Amino acid sequence: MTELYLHAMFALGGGLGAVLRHWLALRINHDLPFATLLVNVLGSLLLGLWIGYLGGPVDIGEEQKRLVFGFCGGFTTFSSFAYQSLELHRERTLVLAAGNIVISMVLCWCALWLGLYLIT
Amino acid sequence: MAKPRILMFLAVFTGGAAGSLVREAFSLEIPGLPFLTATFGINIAACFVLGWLYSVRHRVHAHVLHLGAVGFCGGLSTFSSFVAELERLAIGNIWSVPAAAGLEIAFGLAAAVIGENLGRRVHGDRHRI
Repeated sequence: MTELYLHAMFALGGGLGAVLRHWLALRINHDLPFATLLVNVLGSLLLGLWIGYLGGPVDIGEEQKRLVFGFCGGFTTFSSFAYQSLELHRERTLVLAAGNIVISMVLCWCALWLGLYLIT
Repeated sequence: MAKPRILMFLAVFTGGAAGSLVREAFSLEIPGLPFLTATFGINIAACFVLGWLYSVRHRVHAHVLHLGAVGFCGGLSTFSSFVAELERLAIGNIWSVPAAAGLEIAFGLAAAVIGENLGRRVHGDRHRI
């Protein structure tokens, strides 16, 4: 298994994650950034499950690891979260922007913990 | 109607894959700086690029935004690894967590504003944010 193949698996995961994120964003058409919040929470949950799973007695190929790590990163987004928080401050209120930041942090942290807890 | 949709998702996929490769190459732990996550550099860079792209969003084709903003910036930045990194930092020192989170978010917001302002300046639009 070449290193190039492993990079390709990571990129494949990232590309698929980005497509699923955008598909969900088109489905959840709301003026508040619920779609970004949802993908970040779901992605954090998946990453928690995956880290917990890999921490157990499992024999799993490097390509599967790269695929899922690539997917989680491509599915979740920090840049849109930051930009949308900025837009909330400009177009709505500072409270909404701060709320988006705090709720995203708390829910994603809890989702990661939940994933780790469920699998271990 | 189906063809633009396929092109849109193809652009998002290509950008996401490219962004992920850059993320894989540049996600680096910085020894001796417990208040910085390994995702710090890539997340800030993605915010800067996203701000720049949004400054020209009315002038470029929608697929450029799908490729660059939705795909590349989304693939380059990551929230799940950011949270997992905070979890890693919490094991060493719990006070690193609010410091690292606050720094990364503050720098991310600043990078988006700087990217947007620079983009407007470079591309001729002088509207202030």
